[in-house]
Amino acid sequence: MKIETSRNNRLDTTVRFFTHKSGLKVKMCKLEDFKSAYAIISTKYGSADNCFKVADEDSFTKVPDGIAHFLEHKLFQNEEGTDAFALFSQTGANANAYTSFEKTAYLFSCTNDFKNNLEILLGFVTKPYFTKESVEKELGIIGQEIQMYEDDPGWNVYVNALDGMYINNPVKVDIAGTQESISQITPELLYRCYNAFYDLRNMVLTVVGNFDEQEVVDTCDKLLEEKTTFNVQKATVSEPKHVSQNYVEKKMDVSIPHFQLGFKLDDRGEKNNELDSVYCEILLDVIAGESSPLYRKLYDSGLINDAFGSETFAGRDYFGYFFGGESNNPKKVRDMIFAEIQRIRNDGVDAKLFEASKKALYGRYVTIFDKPSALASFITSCEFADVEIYDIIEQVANAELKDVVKLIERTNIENTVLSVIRPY
Amino acid sequence: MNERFTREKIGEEMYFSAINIEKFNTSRISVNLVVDLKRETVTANALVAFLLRKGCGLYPDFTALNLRLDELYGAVISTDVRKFGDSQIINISGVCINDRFSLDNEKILPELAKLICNILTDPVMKDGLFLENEIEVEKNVLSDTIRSIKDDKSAYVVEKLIANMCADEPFGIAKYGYCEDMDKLSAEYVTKCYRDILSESRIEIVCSGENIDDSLKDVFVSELSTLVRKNVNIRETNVTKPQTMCKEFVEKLNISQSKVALGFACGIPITNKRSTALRLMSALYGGSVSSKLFMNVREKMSLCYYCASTIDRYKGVMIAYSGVEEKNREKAIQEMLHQLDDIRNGNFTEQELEQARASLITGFESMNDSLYGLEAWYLGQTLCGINHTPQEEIKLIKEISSNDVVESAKSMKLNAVYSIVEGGDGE
Repeated sequence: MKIETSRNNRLDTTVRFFTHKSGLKVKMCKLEDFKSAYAIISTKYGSADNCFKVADEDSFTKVPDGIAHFLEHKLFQNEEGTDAFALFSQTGANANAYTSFEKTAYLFSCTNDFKNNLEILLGFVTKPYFTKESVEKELGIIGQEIQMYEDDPGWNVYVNALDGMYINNPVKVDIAGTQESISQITPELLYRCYNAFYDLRNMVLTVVGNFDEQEVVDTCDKLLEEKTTFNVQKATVSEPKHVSQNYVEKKMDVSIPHFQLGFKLDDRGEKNNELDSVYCEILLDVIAGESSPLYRKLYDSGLINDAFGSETFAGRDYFGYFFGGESNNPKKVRDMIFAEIQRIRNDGVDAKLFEASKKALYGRYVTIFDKPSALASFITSCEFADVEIYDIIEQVANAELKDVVKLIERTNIENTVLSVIRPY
Repeated sequence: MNERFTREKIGEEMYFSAINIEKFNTSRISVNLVVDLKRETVTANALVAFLLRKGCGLYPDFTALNLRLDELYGAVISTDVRKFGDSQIINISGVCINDRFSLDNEKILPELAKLICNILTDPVMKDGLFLENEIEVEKNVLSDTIRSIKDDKSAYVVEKLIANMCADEPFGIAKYGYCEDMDKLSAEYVTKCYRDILSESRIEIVCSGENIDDSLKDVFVSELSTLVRKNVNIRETNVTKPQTMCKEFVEKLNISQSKVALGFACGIPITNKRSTALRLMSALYGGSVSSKLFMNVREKMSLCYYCASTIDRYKGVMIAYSGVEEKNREKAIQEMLHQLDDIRNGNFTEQELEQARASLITGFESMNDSLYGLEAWYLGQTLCGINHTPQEEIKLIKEISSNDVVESAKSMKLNAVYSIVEGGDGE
C-alpha cells in the first residue's frame, strides 16, 4: 500500500495519504512541535440522506427525520454495555461527534496513548450495537437536545430560512428531527442506515498533529476489514431554481429581531460548489464585509450591530449564501443588500476592495493550519468534495475579479428568503 | 516545544509579557486595561471599549481602518469587555499571520502593534471629546449587546444566577453595564471615563507568537510612554462568602425547556493551597463526559442533553447548570445536589477520580497547541498573581489526593439556585 505525499512549501505543511485495503481513505498531516493528536473519522452520510435504497431493493424508502443524528449518539454504545466515551476517559482523551447535512463525524483529541485511542475510535465506529432499550433511553436525551434548540433563536432563524429556500431538497429538514419523528426510530432502522452508509469506502479518516504514521497504518490493518459490496443509491431530488417563500417569520422570546437573508444559487455539483465557495467568500466581503461601503451605511444608521455576518452555503447539491444578524428592521437591511448587489452589477466590483478581500481570505486560510480541529475538518470536506486542500489555497491566490462577477450574475434576488425571528 | 514566558515592567503599573513559541502561523496581541468593576462606571467603560474600535489617528475612518486590516492579510483588531474577579477589563486584541506568509515581504506584527497603540492613545475625537454621532451609534450597539444576553437562555440563567448570588459584590455587576445608564452617558462623561481608564488602570500587555522580541516591546514602550499614569490602585478581589441559607429565584419566560443554574461558594482564596483541588473536584463533578453530572443526570436518568459544572477559583465559586423539561426540573436539581453530596461523602471510585485528573491534564498539555489558550492562561495567572506555567499546574494536579477533593466538595455551600421556566408573556 503506497502512501503518497502532497506538500505546500508556502504553508510548510505536508499531507500524506493512502487508501486502505478496506476502502477507507486516510489523510495524515503532522504538525511539527504540536503536543496533541486530533483524529476524525467521517462518513458521507448526514441528515439530508433521508431516502435511499440498497443493493437489489426495488424502491427508495424514506427514513425518519433525525435518524442520522440518532445513530451518531447510539454508535458510542457497545455490546459489552459500556460506551466509547468511557474508554476514551480512561486515557484522558477528549472525544466528541457531530452530524451535519451531509456527513457524520466521530473524533478525539489526545496528548498521549494515540494508538490506543485510535483503536477505540475505529473499534466503536465499525461495531454498531442497537437495542430497543438503548433506543428508548436515548429518546429522552435527544428529546432534550431538540427542546434546547427550540429555544435557540439563532438555530430557529436558520432552519426557517432553509425551509423557505428549499422545496424538495432534504437539506431543509432539521438535523435532529422532531420529538415525533425520532419516536419512530427502531434498532432495525438504525442498522439499515448504518449498513447502507458506514461502509469504509464511504468514509475518511483524517489525523492531524503529533502522531506516529506507522501507528495509523497498523491500527487500520488490525481493525478494518473489507466488507461486502458498497451499493447504496440516494434518491435524487429535483429542486426547482425558485424558493418556496420569500419571507418567513416566527415569534420567540428575544430582545431584538434576528434575521437570516438566504440567496439560492444554481447547483453545479459538489466539486464546483466547493471551489466556487472560495469566490463566494470574497463576494460576501465585497457586498457587506466590514470594509465595504454598505456595511458602513447599515451600521451607522443603526440597522445592524456587531452581530452581523455572512456565510457561504455549499454542498453536494446546493449552493448559496447568507447574510444574518440582529436588526429592528430586517426588511430594510434586505432591501439595502439587494440595492447594493444591483449597484455592483451596474458599476462593477471595486478593484481595491476585491484585492483586500482576497488577501484577507488568504490570511484566514493560513490561520486554519494553526488549529488541528479546523485543519482536519478542512481536509475531510475537501476529500468528500474530491478537491485537494492546496487547490483551494491556489484558488484563493489566483482568484480574479471576473470570478466574483460571475457569482453576481448567478444571483437572482427573486430566489431569496428573509427569515425573521421577532419578539412577542 | 515549551513556550518561553517573560514579563517585565515598562511603565507605572504597565507590564509587557511575551510568550515566545515557534510553531504557529499566527501571532497575537492582547492589551488589557484593568479597572475596578463599579456600578457607577461599568456602562461608560464598556462604551469606551466599543468606541475605541471605530478608528484612530492613523485611520480615523472605520471603513478605511478595516480595509487596512484586510490588506494586512485579514488581521483582526477587536475590543471587548471582560470581567475578572471584581475587576472590569477593557481589552484590545489583535491577531495576524506571521510575516513569512506575506506575499510581498510586509512586516505585519509591528504594524498591528502600532495600530493597536494608536487606537488606545489616539481615538477619534473632536475638540477633545468622542464624537456625538459615534456615541449614539455605539450606545445602540451596546444596548443591543446587553439585551441580547437574554436571547441565549443557557448563558442567561448563569448571568442571572451570578447577578443575584453576588448582588452585594462587584462580581455581581454585569460586565457590559445596564441599558438604563445610556441616557446619562454624555460625550463629556464618556471621554472622562476614557481618560480615567488610561491613567488609572493596570495595563497588562501580552504578545504571543514566534518573534516576540525587544523590538516589539519597544513599540509599546514608545507609543505608550506619553500616558500620564496616576492613582493606579486596583482593589483586591475578595472571594464570595459561603451562605448558610440558599436563595431561590424563578423567572418566567416564553421557552420550551427550563434552564437551571446552581451557585456554590467555598470562601477559599486562590492563593491558599486548598484552592488547587477545586479544579479537580469540579472536573469530577461536572467537567467532562465521564463526570458525575454527565453520567448520572444525562446518561443514567436521561433528563437532559447537557449538565455540567464550571469553577472560578479567583472568586471561589462553582456553578452547575443544565437544561431540562419543566416536569423534571426539581428531580434534576435534586440529582445535581445529590452528586455533589456523593463527592463530599467520598462516594466516587478511584477510576472516576483518575479519569477526571487525566482529562484535566490533557487539557493543560493541549494548551501548548493553542496560542489563544496560552495567552488566556498566562494573562489569568498574571492577574491572579500566581504565575504557574501549564507544566507546573499539571504537577500540582497530579499531587491532589482523593481526600483533598472530598474536602473541596465539603467547602462548597449552595448559595443560590436560579431557574428559568415557561410562563412568560407572549402569544
